Parts: sequence; structure tokens; C-alpha cells
Amino acid sequence: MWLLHFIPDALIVYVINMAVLSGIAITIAGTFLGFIPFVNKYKAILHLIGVALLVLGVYCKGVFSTDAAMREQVRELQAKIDVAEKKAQEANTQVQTKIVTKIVKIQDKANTAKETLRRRKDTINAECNLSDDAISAYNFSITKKPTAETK
Amino acid sequence: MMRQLLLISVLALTGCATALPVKMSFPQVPEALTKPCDRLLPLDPSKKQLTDLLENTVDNYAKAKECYAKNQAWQEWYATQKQIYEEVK
Repeated sequence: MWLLHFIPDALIVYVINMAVLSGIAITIAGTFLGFIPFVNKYKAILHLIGVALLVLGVYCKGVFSTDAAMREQVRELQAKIDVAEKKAQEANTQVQTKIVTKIVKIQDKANTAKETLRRRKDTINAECNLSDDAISAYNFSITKKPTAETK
Repeated sequence: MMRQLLLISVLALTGCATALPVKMSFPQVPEALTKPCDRLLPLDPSKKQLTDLLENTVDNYAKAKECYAKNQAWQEWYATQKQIYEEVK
């Protein structure tokens, strides 16, 4: 069928319609115009040609209509896909902006907290030093590596 | 004669070929979501002051929050893309 795509649709429709109309005309002529000597002489052949043209024309009309409907569906689907791809791209940009903004906010907060800790370092550390066991227990919760005590 | 018949058969068979020119590409993931979450950092055993522990905790909290935010963003991305995909059907 793809070979037909190289021919303009209007021309195909015209040829098919002509085939159908000729088929009808020749069939009618072969059936009802038997009183004309020329027609009467070739009645059987005219019948055959008329019916063949009619059948072929109707068949082609059906095929072409189906093909045209399919092409229309493809066009609609492609349009939908184009819109969806554009929407997906926009959604990606939104998610990207949102997550980057969130990460920046989280880092800003952490920096502010660390600044406060550094500023008040002397007060906070006044009477407190961490023992090796405390650090080891703390690190165990992060690394899951066994410490001397948890072994 | 045989050649002509072969040529006609080939031409007739090409009529059966149906190329559907519709293709939907898989949506790209935002770049920020392609990076894995940072691992939590243990405290350097040589740092024994309380502020060192607190700073380390603050850093680790920030990493955990970032990871949580990324997880939420993944879910949001998936839900949005699924909705867009279903609209096409």
C-alpha cells in the first residue's frame, strides 16, 4: 500500500470513482441496452467488464478508505505524542528546578547550623569531650562496622 | 516470463508491509535525580569535641534530607510521567 503514498490522494480517489461509475454504466448498458445491435453483439463481454470494474472499484474504495482512516489515526496519535513529549519535558524542568531549590535550601540550613556551632564552640565544648567509646558507638550507627564493644 | 512474475510477486508483497511511523520516546530523567544519594559520613575519631559531633550530625542530617527530597522528586516525576503517558492512549 505504501506505493500509493507517492500518488496524490485526489488522483487515486478520481481513478477509483471512475472505475466504480464505469462499472455501473457498463453493467447497466450490458443489461438494459440489448436492443442496440452493437451492445447486443458484445453483451457477455460488457457484462464481464462491467462487473469486474465494479467489483475492483468497490474493493479499492474500501481499501483506500481504510488506509485513509488509518493515516488519520496515525496523524492524531502523532499529534498527541508530540504534546505528551512537550509536557514530559516541561514536567522534567519543573521537577529539576524543585529538587535543586530544595537541595540548596537544605544546604543553606546546614551551613547556618554549622556557623552557629562554630560561633558558640567554646560554650558548647566547655566541659564536654567525647570518649573513644562514644565516637565508636556513634560511627557504628552510620557505618555499621562493628566496634570493639559490639563485636 | 519468470523474471516478470517474480518482480510482480515482489511488488505485490511490498503492499503487505505496514510501517507505522508513530514513535514515543521514553522521557528523560531530570539530571539531579540521576545522582545517587550521598553516604553518611562517620565522625573522625581524632575529633573529640562535642561541636565536631554536632557538625557531623548536621552534615548527615542534610544528606538524609537531600536523599528524602530526591526520593519524593522521583515519585512526583513518575506520577507525572505516568499521567502524561496515559493521556496519549
